[in-house]
Amino acid sequence: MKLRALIADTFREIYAKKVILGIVVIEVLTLVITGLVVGMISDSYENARVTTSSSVITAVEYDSTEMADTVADRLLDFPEDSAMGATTDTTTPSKILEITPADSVQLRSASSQESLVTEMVRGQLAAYSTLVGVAVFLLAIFATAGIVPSMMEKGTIDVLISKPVDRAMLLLGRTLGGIIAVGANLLLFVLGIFAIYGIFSGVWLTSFVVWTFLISFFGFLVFYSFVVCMNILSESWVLPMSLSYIHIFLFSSFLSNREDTLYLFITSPVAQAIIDGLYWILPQPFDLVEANRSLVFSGMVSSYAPFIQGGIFILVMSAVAVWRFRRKDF
Amino acid sequence: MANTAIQINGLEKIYKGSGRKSQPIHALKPLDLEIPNGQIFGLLGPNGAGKTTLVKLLLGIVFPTSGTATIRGRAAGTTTAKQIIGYLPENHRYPNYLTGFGVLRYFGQLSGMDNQTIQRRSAELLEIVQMSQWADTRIKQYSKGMMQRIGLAQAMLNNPEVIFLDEPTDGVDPVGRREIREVIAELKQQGKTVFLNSHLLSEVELICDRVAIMNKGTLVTMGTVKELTAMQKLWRIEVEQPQQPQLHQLLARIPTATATGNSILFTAETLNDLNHAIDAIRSAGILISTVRPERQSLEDLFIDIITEGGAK
Repeated sequence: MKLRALIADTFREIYAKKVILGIVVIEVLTLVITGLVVGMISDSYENARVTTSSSVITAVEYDSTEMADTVADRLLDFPEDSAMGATTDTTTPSKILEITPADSVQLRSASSQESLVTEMVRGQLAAYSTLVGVAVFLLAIFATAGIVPSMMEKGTIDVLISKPVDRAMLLLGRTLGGIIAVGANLLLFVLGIFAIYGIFSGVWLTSFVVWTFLISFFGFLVFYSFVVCMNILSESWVLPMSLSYIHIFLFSSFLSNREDTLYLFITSPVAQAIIDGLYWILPQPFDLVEANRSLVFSGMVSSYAPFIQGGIFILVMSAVAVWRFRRKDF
Repeated sequence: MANTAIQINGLEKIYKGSGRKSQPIHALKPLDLEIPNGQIFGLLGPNGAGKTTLVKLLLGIVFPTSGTATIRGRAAGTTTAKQIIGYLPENHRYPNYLTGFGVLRYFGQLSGMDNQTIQRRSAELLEIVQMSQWADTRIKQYSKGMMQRIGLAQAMLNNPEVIFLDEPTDGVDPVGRREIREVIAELKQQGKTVFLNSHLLSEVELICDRVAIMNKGTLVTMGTVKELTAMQKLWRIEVEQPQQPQLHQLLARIPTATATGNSILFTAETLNDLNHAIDAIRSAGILISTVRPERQSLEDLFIDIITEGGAK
């Protein structure tokens, strides 16, 4: 009852402040634009369906040779499951033309027209998953960064703490309200994209919904745990939000690609060790977005490290936040 | 102990300085205090005296540096103690997207009340604080006085045994103040203990059974209003028509004395001084009709204590 009251009040506050409303407007506009664009290119899906076999169907960069093989296998096996009953060249394995040394693969296949369309949609939605990931980091953190600080305002927190509610529950109810609001918005948006592509292409790619929702939501949780922790330590919402954005849009990509970028200039082993340490301590949004794209496209991920690291980060930040909040003087 | 609402033993609060060079702030020096059940207890003091810190310590909003406190035998600041507490803070801020009734429902739920009880109590309390007609209006449209009324209803919602009111009449018009005073008096009638922080000394004087004055983190004095205002050093002696030479002789012997009509006012530090003065008056051949302490207003006392620096 108490937790539900706290969550419900957080919802009311979020919607009263119209931040989520603004995000919903952005989402609806995005969906409308996506619908228009996908509608305009829907002819290309039809054209693909009538494309003769043995055409070049795609050329894609993969993260690893194993991933490329998996995609190739799936493409080549596809006709067996095809409801279209398209003709299949049983000698297709010989038609994998090339796996380059740079781990890229080109596939020539006599696969069905449906697999071609599926791969087109898969590629477009994989790109979309990156957009969704970045948008979630940007908008969801903005929408929720002020939730805990507004509870800690003088005159508000006094009354709340005077009630027979554990401080940890106050914090939990407040953050859960924000998390559920963001989660619901994200799910609706991802479902919207999924439906638009499904309607126009006839390809209902559920892996896009599952991975994009789960990974984007997970990424949001990673940063929100940091924001809440910093909210409590600094009693500010601007500082944690700014730090999050700086990390997401600047540090994260450098840290993920440190060997190809930073280490060209930083040659000291000590400095490199420090940078390596930072990479493993700080969240890895760049890698999460990459993993999302890869999972949507190929169903595979090159490393689980960003997930494990993110999980540990959430636990540590949450523990520090609860510990500090329970001992804080207001 | 069973008759004690609030028991404070050596409660102390030192705030750490926020910057590197800032000094710790000794907001509350070790304090011992016992407040009996069923009383209206007024806490007075200038800004920074430690009043709000004391209330926050009792409510668990800040944590003590040392010492302990109990509310009706329950450790202050714990969830069990908070079940029997109501609190109206100064400058409270309720979610402005809620209606008056919405505020009561929200805080009732946080107090662990079921919806039926919340409905019933809210209707009663909104009637008592005369806010029934504004129950469904969003509180962002409320005036300061209306906010105080809804805040008072919120503080009484869970039928608490001990109620902390911080400036309950702040921003309320004179009629409203009287109504709030009546509500507080009614709470006392119901056996509740009311802990009242107020700058309005006349108000405290009117409704409080006991008053404590704090200054610079220390409890300077405490007692009933009558005790506090009577314990002063100023005495008034009514005499029969004195002759002018007698009077001049007397005033020369008691430098602090002033005479107006049939009254002689003078300051006596001790009872011994008072008796010496009486002896002097009698030896001057003046007949005494009455001797009584000159009562100061609470405000006079408050100003005296604060200007003395609380070093009583």
